[in-house]
Amino acid sequence: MNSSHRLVGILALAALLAAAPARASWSAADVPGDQQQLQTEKFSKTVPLPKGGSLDLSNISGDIVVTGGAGDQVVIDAVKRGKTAEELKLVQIDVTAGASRVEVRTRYPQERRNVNVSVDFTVTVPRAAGVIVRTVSGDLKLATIDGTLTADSVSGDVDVTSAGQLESAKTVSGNVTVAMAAGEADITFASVSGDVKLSQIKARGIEANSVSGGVTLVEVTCSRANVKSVSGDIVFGGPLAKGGRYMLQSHSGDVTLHVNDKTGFEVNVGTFSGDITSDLQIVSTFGGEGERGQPGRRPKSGGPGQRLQGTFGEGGALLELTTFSGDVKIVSKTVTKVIKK
Amino acid sequence: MTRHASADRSCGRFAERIHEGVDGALDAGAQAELDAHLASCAACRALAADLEAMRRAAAELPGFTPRPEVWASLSRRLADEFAARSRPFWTGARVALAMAATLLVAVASSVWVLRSPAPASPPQASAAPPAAAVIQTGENLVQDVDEHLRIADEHYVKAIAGLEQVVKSGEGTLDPALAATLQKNLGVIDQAITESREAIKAQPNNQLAQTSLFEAFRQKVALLEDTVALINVMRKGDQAGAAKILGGLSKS
Repeated sequence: MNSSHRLVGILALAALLAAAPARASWSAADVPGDQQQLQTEKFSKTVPLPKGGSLDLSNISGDIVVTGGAGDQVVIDAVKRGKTAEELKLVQIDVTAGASRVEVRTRYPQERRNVNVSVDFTVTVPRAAGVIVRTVSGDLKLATIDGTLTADSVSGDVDVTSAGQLESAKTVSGNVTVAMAAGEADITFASVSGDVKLSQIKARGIEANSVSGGVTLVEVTCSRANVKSVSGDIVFGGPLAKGGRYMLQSHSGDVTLHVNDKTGFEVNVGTFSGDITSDLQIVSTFGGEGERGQPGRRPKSGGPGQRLQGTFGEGGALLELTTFSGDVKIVSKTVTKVIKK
Repeated sequence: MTRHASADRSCGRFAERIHEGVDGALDAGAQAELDAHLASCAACRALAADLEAMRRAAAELPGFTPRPEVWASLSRRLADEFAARSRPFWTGARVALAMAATLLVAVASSVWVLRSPAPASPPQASAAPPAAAVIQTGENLVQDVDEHLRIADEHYVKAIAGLEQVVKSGEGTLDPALAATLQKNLGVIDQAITESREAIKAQPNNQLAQTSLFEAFRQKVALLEDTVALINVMRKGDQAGAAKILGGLSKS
């Protein structure tokens, strides 16, 4: 999405929310930390959601758990937390049920600032429902959702398990952890300061980025991967599609590719000051030890820095593995370890 | 946090028009309608001011139009590259070409980001190559690439400076913890830029160092853009909308 369109989207949402104003002191630091002094207020509502419907939930401060289940209803349980009962009453939870869409919004008073109230949601939706969940400060946990799924947080972790049509999972400050997810098109995963950990993902294409965190992809099946980090390590493990293209790039982190020896590939590897090692016998056309890159050996430099270009097997997939100051490793086994959450 | 007047229902309708207004592309009627909205909406005024600041920064950029023979040469070679996709895509002979193509896109992107009022139209890639291209030597191509590197570097530095200025003007708008996180990560990218620059200084022709530098530039521009977008959303008091900007986060 380009900058202009992104801003338009933001303003459009702002206009939408202006009709149902939401306002809060949303910093996690502002939410009272002394549990003993917290006042709580519970909220529950159940609304029907027909087949093909979707849930759109936007929150300001607080955690959100959404789970797919049986039935054709959206069950919303929420707990408001704040310093005083008076403050709790200032924050409203609006549930709007349309023909095929349920919207849930937390609404803070416009006339008063610094309302230190957070709202935690626990929601159950029909498993096939589409879900869009956004929060500014809080963790997101989503599980067993087969409809299209978008999960965005600004400050908080995003955790997705078993998603049939995942579109994106992103946060600015926090980790993104996704297991057992599929996407009909490309899936985007992003964090600025946290790690991105993905396992058992199937999609046409995967975009995964972090600035200071690592990016780990385990048992990932896709025909196109674009994985980047500035200072974190990148690990990729999964079958390579013939004709697929996989770009793994870090500045100061290591880049490690775990592959089986069933699919051939053409590979271009580069590191400015690190080492290049490969368990697989790569027929080198540039760099490497003579004409044939030897496993585990440091290839001869084709100039300043290190580069290796070559083919394994009959080729097929295209790989580009680069790091500025880290190492590049091609490991001939599939990563099977499960990412711990 | 600075609190502006609450968002107007029509903000969404005016969002694109603000861009056009800043570019001077509106007719008198539309401009008057926009002016009336801006007079009553502080948030949109702030957005318009930010865009205007970026436009001014873009206007100070030196003109950049690749010479036709460079475009023709690049397009021809890129076509060959595409046709030969089954071959390795990063051979030594193609590195300079790939770099140049990447940089041309990068420069165009950075200029576009700043919404230069009069962006140079790229020459048609399909145009018949001028005679100069036919006799262009490899040495000339390398010189072209070096020149593009220099110009792209200059563009990125100015683009980043413009965005940093906008971000600075929005200091205090973001939650302090979030602002610290963004600042820390901008520092991580700055470190990557510094290391890449030092590498290029030591080895001016090292393509990996050059690629690394411009990738770091690109990431910094992307993160600054996201920061500016967050600031604008927060200025509107639309904190829930802040989560929606994540569509561009660290986008590659």
